[in-house]
Amino acid sequence: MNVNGKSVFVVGGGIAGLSAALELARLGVGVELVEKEDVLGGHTRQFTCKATDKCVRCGACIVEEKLKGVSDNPGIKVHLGSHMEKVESSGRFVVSLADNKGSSHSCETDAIIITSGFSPFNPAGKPYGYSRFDNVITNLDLERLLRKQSLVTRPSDDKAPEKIAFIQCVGSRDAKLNHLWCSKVCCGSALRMASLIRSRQSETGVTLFYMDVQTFGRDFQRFFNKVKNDVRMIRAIPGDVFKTEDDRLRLTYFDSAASEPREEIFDLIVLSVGLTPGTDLARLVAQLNIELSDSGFVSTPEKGSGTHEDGVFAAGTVLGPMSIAESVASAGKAARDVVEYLKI
Amino acid sequence: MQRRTLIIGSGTCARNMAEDLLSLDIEIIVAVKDEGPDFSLSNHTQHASAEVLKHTRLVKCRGSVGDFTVFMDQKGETVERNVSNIIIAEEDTREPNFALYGLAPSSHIISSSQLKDLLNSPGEGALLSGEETIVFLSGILDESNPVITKEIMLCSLRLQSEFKKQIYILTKNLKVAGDGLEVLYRKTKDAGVVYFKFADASPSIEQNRNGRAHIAFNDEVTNQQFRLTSGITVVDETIKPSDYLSELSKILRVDRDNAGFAQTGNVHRIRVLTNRKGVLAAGPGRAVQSAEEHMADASNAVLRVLEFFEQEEPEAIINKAEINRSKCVRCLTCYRRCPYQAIQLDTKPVVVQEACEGCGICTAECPKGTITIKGLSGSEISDQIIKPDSVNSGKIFVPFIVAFCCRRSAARAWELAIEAGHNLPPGLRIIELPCAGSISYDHIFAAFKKGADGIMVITCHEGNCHSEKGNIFARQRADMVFEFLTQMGFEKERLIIKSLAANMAMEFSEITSGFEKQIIDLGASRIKPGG
Repeated sequence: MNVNGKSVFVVGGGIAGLSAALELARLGVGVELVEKEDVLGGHTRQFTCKATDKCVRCGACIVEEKLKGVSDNPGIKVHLGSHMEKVESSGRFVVSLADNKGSSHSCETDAIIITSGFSPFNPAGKPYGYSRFDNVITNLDLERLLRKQSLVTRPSDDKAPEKIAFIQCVGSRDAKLNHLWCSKVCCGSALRMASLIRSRQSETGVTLFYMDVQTFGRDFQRFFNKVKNDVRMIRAIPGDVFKTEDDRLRLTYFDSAASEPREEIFDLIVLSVGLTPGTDLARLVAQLNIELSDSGFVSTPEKGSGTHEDGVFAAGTVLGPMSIAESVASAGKAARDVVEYLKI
Repeated sequence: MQRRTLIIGSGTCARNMAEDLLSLDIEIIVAVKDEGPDFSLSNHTQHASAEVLKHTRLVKCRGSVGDFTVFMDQKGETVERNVSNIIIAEEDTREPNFALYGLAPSSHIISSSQLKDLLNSPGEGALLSGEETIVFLSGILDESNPVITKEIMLCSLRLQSEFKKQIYILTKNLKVAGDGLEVLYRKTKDAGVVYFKFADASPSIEQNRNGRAHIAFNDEVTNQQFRLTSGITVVDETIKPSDYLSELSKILRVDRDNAGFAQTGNVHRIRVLTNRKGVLAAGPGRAVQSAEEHMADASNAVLRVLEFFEQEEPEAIINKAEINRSKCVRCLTCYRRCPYQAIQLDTKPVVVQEACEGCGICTAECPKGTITIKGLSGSEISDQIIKPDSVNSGKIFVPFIVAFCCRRSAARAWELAIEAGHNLPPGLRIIELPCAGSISYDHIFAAFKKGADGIMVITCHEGNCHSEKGNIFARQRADMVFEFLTQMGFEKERLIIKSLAANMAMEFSEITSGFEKQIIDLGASRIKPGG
């Protein structure tokens, strides 16, 4: 293989970007990794380990491995707090990078991999009181909380909640929003966290409101059987959430078994928000000749990693909802396709 | 070194890898267990050779990464080949769930594969004529998956719109966690497909004399009783490894998952790695997954092979195991314990350097102490056990705590805890081990001898050990030491074993601080350093 002087630009330092960068660097390809935040790791960096006594295979620890791999690899040049300001294509690409301090510089590259990820759905428009009530949080908020402290407490008073409700599919599988996709990862995230909370705070009751529980991981049946004993499952999409006078949350839903509306009081409500197309995709579409699918994620002809623009590839959740494991695989696919494109 | 890879399998994943490797000038052998499809390998160049062996099954494998000798059976003849890597991409099989639903197959009760075949053969669809109602049973007793759900939805869409049948899909949780499946679900609903979903209850299913199924249930949405007499009932299938695939894992000494696929759920194997270097699992050989995922596996497996041939220097220089052959009594403990199958049997066990990952499990497990890894001997570890200055300063008791940490998990959590400014015991001394499974009695007693007031062994969580069972071996050894301490009348509370992940910085701080408190309550160790 002749990798002399070949370089690839990776846009986005989340799990897919880190993985793609590592794959290419291991083969001797020079990598420039650009990340808009001041740290690498993307969303996954905030995820908590959900192991109870055993590993539950959430994959959150994988990002630590990748971060270490990237920082130890001299072939990967990392640009933090930076974004692509301008791209010119003339066989190779000339990329102008701008950083948060306002300075910019340009460099040349042979190919670009877009791994800019997803944006979590903002549930403020849903009738669940997010951003109005302190104790209505998202699953990502809960991931961060559990990363910081081992026991769950309510944001309003730092007290342990007696009853927690998870609401699934917030911003996913939603025809009104034209979000016609399952976000794939939220059932795994919610049930693993619910199970973790139950194992550490046995006095806390957990209820999960769902449409369809999705299969995740190997041995799902075994995990699910166990979790069903621990977590109360209600198939319903809740209607509204109100705050009670004693700072609890009143949730309404339709109980189909009894054919009547019900109300129930919870102390903490966790919204499992969907994965939606990245908000910075618009800028990339303006810069590069890439196309988006009906759902708004990057589309690739023939389901490969190559986009509609020659030399530009995509991997990870910029293509649609994916788990950590799938993002890593997607990055591998893109790296393989880039090697083919560079003919090295 | 030869650049040759053996691919076992015959599906699109196997073919894709074969073509891709050839395009990279890597020789391939494809072993297909039966007639298989006709491979017309498009990228066949003069530089690399390709060999497709049909009716060929792997029976034996010797050697190690870079130099495997495989023995295959081709219609009774033994075929021997030398390869560097092996990729398991053997096709999975399907088992129709007739028995699960208490149904016997008949012209009215068919499997989803039978239906697919009917729909794909021209004219055969006529067999469905005369029947108005078709009921699909999917994931009612066991949870299904998106691969099966997609097939059922595609079939039902055609039956509803092309053949004008009334389709009912009975399921528990509709598995739409796959690309485009929610859109497909809506399309089937718009076409008139009716879904009944169950939470706890299941429908009652009976088969009458003419072979049809009668299905009765309470619909949980409308709360009404339904009775369906199904013209044709289509039962779903369980995707599982074939017997040959399970056998392959045994021959290649690769850990399997509970279903029998050639990879465990260990997250460190993402995506196509197995516990054995040079043996990869891809596509249908690896897990139940979609066609798109099979292709992603193919790319990732090709990358791993390419990396093997192209990588100029190893990722990190690791110390590897060495066996003192003169002291070895051939008990084969190392051979059985090595998670990477890096011990080969000559007249005596030999460590295959290329396959050894330096985890140190063999050094700790060898009953004769004949296996060493640089840095892991009792004296080398003992030299690292140095009391922090803070322990000796002042009059307040500051416990000297030695924490043996797996370098992949607990040691990283410790670094993150420092970075985040979390509270850590002032008398804490970290000893990094390549794997918690390398902790030996010598190490623990060395720490006591050096005056440790408390000793921690921190492993990865069960199921997360890079060396598969290192954490379990560590626990067994700790249990043995607890037993010694109890018998000696020494406080066994001075030793604890815990599990942590690399990203658990806060928990690292909590468990070390909690242990420090426990040791303060116990007071200083009675063992005087150096004594």
